[in-house]
Amino acid sequence: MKNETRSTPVDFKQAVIATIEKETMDREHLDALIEALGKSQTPDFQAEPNKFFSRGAATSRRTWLAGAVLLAVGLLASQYFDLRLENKAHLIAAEVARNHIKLKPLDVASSSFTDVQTYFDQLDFALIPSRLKHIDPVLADNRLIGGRYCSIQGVTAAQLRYRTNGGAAARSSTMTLYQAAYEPELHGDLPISEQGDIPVYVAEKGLDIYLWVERGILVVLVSEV
Amino acid sequence: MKKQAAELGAEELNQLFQYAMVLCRNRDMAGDLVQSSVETYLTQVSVGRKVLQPTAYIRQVLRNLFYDEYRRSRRWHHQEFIEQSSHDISPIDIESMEITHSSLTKIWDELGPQDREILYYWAILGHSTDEACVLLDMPRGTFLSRLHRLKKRYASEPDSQDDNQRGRR
Repeated sequence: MKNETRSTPVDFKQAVIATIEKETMDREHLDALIEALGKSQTPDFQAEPNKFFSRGAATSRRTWLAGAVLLAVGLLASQYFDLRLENKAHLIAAEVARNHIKLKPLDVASSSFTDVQTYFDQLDFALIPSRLKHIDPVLADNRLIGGRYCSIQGVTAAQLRYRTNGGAAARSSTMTLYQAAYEPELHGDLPISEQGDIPVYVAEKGLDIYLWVERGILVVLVSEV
Repeated sequence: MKKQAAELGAEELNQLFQYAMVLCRNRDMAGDLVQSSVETYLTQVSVGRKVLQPTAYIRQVLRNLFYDEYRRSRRWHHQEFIEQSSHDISPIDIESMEITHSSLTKIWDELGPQDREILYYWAILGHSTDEACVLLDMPRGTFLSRLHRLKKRYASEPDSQDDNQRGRR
């Protein structure tokens, strides 16, 4: 029985194949396509191909068909298709990594989030309380020590600084958390926590960097753990 | 032309559907992707274009359709791994890795279309992972570091209960 073997380690490739091949197309849809393919051999099809496409899933199909026609023209161009969806995230990550390593003096030294929030009155948004616990329980063991103004991609941002205790065995380290008003055109597509997205993770200069958007604020967490 | 169209039977269409599922993990979207890419292929053929390998051609059309929509919809359909620092990009012997079916099912959606695609090219199409990275324009180091994280996290681990420390909902 398959269930009995679901907890047994198997060859990774076989597991991948099984996962992929367990999906099958709807029989109806399959038959309709095969019929369309069969008809494609007729001279009538040659004259007017569109007439022969079946009408299944009409609404979304129209969008796809329009896209397909455009893409048929641009197929050669697609060889240069750039899938660097994470480009902006990497740029931002590099920038905050530099800020983290430089660690310039704090503008405000305080362990009170409210005090720090009050300090940052030059921002065009309100600082939001940290969601660090949601990233990793280990990171939740930290304390705020203050903040300073900085910039991300040319826009004024806030840097909050934390000391992480790290527990008995590990050394303590510094964590920086950045907040800026989120601008999709500037920052690119980023996970939105209200939509259930999980932060982007970027490794940069030996640091762990997490990026996400929360309540319209771009939040970046830099950790040395 | 007769030969070309005949090559596309139920088996090939299902393969294309499976590939579409690898990309989008949604049956409706996958069905649409197959539909549209087949239509594109037929339109091309009807205007006299010679397509030597219909399945490969349609797969490429399908892929472009997917990534075009994926980029445009401005949403993160996948979740990135969140891991402790792991910058390991040493070569990995993927051929000798092991995993439980249930672990793989758990993380399959999490992997993201690009990683799943590499694994598709490796497991189904028979390329080496290096070849797949070149064909799919993914830096080898990126793929290797993700694979290391996957391995650390799930390979050969006995089944554990849902890990809600990772902040998943």
